[in-house]
Amino acid sequence: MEIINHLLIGKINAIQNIEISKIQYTPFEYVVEIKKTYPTSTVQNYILKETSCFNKRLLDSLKLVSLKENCLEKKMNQLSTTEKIKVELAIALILNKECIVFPYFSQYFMEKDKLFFKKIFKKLATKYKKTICFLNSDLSFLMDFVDRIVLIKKKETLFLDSPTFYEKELLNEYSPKIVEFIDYLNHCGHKFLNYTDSKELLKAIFREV
Amino acid sequence: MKKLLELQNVNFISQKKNILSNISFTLYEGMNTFICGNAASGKTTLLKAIAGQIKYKGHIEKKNVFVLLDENNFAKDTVEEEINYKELKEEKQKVVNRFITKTVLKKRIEDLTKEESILVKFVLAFLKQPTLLCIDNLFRFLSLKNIQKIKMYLKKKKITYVVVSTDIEDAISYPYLIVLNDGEIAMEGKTMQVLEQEKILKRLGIGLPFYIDLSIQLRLYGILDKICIEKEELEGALWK
Repeated sequence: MEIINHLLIGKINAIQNIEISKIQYTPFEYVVEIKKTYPTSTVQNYILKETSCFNKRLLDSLKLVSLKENCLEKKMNQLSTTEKIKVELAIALILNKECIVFPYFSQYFMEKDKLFFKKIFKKLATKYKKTICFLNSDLSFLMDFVDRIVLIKKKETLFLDSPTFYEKELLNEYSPKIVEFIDYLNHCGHKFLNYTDSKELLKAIFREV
Repeated sequence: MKKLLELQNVNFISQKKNILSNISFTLYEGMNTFICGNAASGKTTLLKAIAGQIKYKGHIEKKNVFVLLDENNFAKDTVEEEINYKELKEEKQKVVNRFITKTVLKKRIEDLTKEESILVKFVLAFLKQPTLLCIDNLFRFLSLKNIQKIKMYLKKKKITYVVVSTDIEDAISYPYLIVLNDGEIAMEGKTMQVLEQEKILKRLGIGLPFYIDLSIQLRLYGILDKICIEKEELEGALWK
């Protein structure tokens, strides 16, 4: 699927209708997702099998995703969701992939975990120049983070540069709640700017009411 | 109200770590429940305990409970065989046809999309006619249309359901909320009452639904005196 090859950080709408496993990935990409089954082998053996690597790079990658060295002795199939995602991300880093793809990322986690991973993503994007692609239907947690949105709607692909979350005809039901609310307020005759930060919205409401 | 599920001091230890610690709660008929918690808080393990897939300590009493986990446990080659469609009575075939198209019915299991395979799982659960259905974060793979269709069916058949999810926005549509943290029940109660405990929830790393969060902040500013859950309600309350 061509989108993946020149992707970008963004949100893909209607991704549920795209079968991830059928997308052809290039060797430059790694898909960080929880696999259907995991072996009973240790994390160390799993990483070795996937990467054929056991050197400083492995330890550095584990450190980057906040996994302690002693986790290498744990059994892969007994890890928590967060730990599995971290291991998969570490593998992507060991393999030094240019593009890291996260299908359904935000749906695995709640606020605290999302914030934790967001810090890692920012570091990967800025310091290590990685391209990160989120396949998601939840825009809200990506609002202050993405450079580009790829919207798939009715089998058409739309590229939105410098994301305009207020493209309501395009994003429609997938708009973040803050966008939906400001849209509604303006529809009711109030005048609000297109805020993407709820603190800014809060101050604006305070001034208006 | 009829008791459907009761857990008493359920504990589960794996690799010397407490995955579930003294979990106790009771669910009654019609008490649709939302269970949330950060990753590794024990949500899926709890459902596995209810399903009897793990050896736990404690007591679980259940009546006609079906647990839907995100596991690939199909046994046959095609959807038709998996459902045993041809052998089903007409009434049950109607249930299948409601959620699965004829094309999907003929598909091989390995050719199913994620959404299709989840729908097949739901159909298999519906055919068992449970009184309580526990769903492990599976709505995330479904379109809004299919989620609504499933919820309507559950309502029509009076099947009580428990949903484990990470989408806190969805919590407000459930009357009861359980928050798990490190394998323990951190909070439990009527959804709105739990969600009003903003400080505890944030400390646990659980966000709040947008309109509730905004309402609470506006209340702190002294310009709102109630919690709103919808945009119309919030606008009305602010510019009354």
